[in-house]
Amino acid sequence: MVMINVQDLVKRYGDLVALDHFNLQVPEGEIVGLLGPNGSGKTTSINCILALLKYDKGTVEVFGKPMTPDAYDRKRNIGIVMQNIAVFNELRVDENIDYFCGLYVKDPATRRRLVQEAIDFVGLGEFRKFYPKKLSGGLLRRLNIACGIAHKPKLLIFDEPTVGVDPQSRNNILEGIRELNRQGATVVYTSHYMEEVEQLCTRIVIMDKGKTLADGTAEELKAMIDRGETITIEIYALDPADLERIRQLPHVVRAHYSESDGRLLVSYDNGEHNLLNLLDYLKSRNTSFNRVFTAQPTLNDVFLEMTGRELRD
Amino acid sequence: MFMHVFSYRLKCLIRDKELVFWTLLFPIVLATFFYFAFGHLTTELEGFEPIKAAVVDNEAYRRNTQFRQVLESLSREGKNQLLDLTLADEDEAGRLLEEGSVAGIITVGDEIGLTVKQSGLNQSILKSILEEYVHTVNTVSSIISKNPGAVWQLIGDIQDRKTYTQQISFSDAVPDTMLGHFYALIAMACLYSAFWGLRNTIDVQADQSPQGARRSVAPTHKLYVVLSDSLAAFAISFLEVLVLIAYLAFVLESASEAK
Repeated sequence: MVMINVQDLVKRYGDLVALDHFNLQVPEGEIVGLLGPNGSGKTTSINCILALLKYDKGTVEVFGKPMTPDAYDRKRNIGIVMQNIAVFNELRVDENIDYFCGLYVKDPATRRRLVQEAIDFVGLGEFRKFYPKKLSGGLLRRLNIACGIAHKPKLLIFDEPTVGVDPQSRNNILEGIRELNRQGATVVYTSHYMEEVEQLCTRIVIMDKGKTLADGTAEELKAMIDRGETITIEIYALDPADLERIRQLPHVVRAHYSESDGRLLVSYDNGEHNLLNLLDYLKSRNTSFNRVFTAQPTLNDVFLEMTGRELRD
Repeated sequence: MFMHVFSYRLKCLIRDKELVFWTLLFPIVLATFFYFAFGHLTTELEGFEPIKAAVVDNEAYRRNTQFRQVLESLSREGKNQLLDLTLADEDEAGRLLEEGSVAGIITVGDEIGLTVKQSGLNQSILKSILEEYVHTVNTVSSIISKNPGAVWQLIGDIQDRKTYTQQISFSDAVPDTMLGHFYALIAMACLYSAFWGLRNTIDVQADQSPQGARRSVAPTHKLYVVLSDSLAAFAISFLEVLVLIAYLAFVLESASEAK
């Protein structure tokens, strides 16, 4: 089943086109990442999907039906974790979760159980009587998540939930999202952190300037570009003639030797056994080397190839 | 569902210390200031005594017939008597002022001057009388110099001054300016209830706050949320106004009666 189906979505703010014929399909059970730089239209697309924003053109379907502000049957199964902390400072941790859970679940006994499960899930048990102002940034993010997931939704939308979060809390959040997915929730995750998206998502949609640039798994996306691994070798001295011959090796796209730090950088397209071929050549030339590093292409390389800009620009 | 949203809204609003300060504590503090600042104004006016003042009996004063007539009319005995004047030479007037027998000394020279030892209600009244006189004389002189023919109409206008506002009472009670201040304070407290409404609006609108966005995504009918929030805000503001009225009626009124 397709949980979210967005077709040709257009959203304009005056002359600015925030979404330009944007398409998105989210199948059941997947973790779909929306990856793009700041201002690429990620949050706008989420707000349109949730019927928080009116759009100019296109269709949005959630659970197979059009999404509207009064689509309460569909909203019942959606959970949202906003980029900004959406809790009330005047309510304690448990009260906040109970309040937002209560907007979805009427039965008090069921609600108590769900609130307890949410508190356990995000690990806020010892802080349940704390007011949000007393919580650290990481704990506040966890509370924000608990308020969005307590009612056990089938579709969970995370809009940059890790902005300004320390690495440990970030790992906890990502592991929590994986666990929710294992429990059956379909997840849409927006971020401009490519490492997070690559690490977490089963499918990635790269967007820029409101458009869908590419859609697929991390491997599929990397395969779209004409770039393979990059090998770095520490070499004390390299004859220019040898550097020229390395450039002639199979699949080598670029080779560069820096005398100042004694490093040889060789970039490949998608060929195989590149490292072995390079090391064999260096041995045959009796060139001594020290450490060897290899790096696979990243999603940033994919974005760079497609837009000429880096993701962080 | 209604009770869930309503009860949590009550908690949210009551725990908003800043709003509670402005909508409840601030009017109470202001009422207390009003009480101490203006509380004795009415009683002072009710027991009004003509203001004792000294006039320096010099040549200029004796020549200024108009001013003398004005002062004499103001100090004429009767229910409208405003001044109680003592003619004295400069030294004697100074001594009277020093020992507190008069509120001020009026001296006529090139200009009409007032000397006081301290500020207060009587001194302010004396200052107002002299300023009004000087202002009227200057106006009349200016008009006559430009249009001598208007002199008789001008004299008539001065003698027949009209007040264009009229103070009336809706009940049998005599209008009380001081009481008006406190009613205005209650009105202000009612007006401040709008702060609760503002907070509610921000918290329910998806484009105004993340909390509003989260509530808009929830499957609760927005009318439920708006009504629950409004009722909670109304209950709190109503209670606050009752507390303010109770403070005015029982605390300040009792303190006033005890005096």
